[in-house]
Amino acid sequence: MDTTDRQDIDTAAAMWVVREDRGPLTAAEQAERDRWLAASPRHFGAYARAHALLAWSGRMTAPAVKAVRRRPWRLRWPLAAAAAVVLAAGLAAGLMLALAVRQRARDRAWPDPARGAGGRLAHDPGRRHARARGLSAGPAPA
Amino acid sequence: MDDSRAGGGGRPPLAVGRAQWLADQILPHEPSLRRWLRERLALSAADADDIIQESYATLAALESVEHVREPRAYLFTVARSLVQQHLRRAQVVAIETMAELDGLGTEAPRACPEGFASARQQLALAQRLLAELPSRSREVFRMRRIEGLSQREISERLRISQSTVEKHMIKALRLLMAGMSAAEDPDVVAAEGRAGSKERSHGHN
Repeated sequence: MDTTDRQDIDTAAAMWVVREDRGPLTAAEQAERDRWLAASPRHFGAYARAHALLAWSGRMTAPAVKAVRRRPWRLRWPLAAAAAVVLAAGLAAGLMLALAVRQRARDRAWPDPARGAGGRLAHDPGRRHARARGLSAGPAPA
Repeated sequence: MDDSRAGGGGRPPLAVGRAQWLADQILPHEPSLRRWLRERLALSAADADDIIQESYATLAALESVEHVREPRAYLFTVARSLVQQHLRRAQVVAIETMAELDGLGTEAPRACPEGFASARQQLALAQRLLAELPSRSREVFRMRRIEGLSQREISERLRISQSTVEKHMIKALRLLMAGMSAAEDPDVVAAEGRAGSKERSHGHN
């Protein structure tokens, strides 16, 4: 069998498989297909192979596309929810931290005399100045 | 497809589920079988294609495939007996063919781990073959096989006639069939691809 014959057979096989894939064949189409199939065992072989390839193509490509199109969405919603929780927690923590820092700043503004002249407050030039003037135990301006 | 089998009287050409069985159990071994026919049995490309086509015919015509425990071995056994039938009619037989047939026994060559039978490589090949389709045929084929639209729905969505949808589907399936035949040896395919691109670049210069 030469190459052209083979290609013609494959094309005819693909045509019948696609027509069956479209929907039920008419009685006339079915009779024509059956005549074609009966004409040569090669026809039936090409037809079976074309059916196998159509089935294979769906099986092989569908999961890949689902993986690309759907999985990110399935993952994204929980991720978004988790991100929102983290963000809210972060905001709350940040707010508390800010309040704590501010509170601490006020505490520093009212220094503990027990700390004496040393300690971290010594780095504050303004504070040093206040101490030098003997005002360390007194109320500081806000 | 089995769910869109021809209605009306008469026995359908393929048993229910047979197309899917061939797709799952036989098709993955086709490149390996072709390589064996070409390299070990020294058959021509045309003869190898004929044997493969006849193997499909034999497997498709089986009353049932429930008894087939090892589809790969079964496929090779079917192909081997078809080659022997051809040899009885042939005038000249390659020595390698006889030697391989004598030595094979009933054992099919084992699938190598890198073989096409792996799901990952099948997926890669399917995606490559789809990517190589002309864009309109690929679009139509994707809509049918991946999105699951009917051929009628595709014609409505793309505003093309149903016969045009059919033509694109036939073209796509035809190219998949040819692509699977060419998938016998990835190295050969790659070498031909390089040669082709070299020729094209020479043409531009």
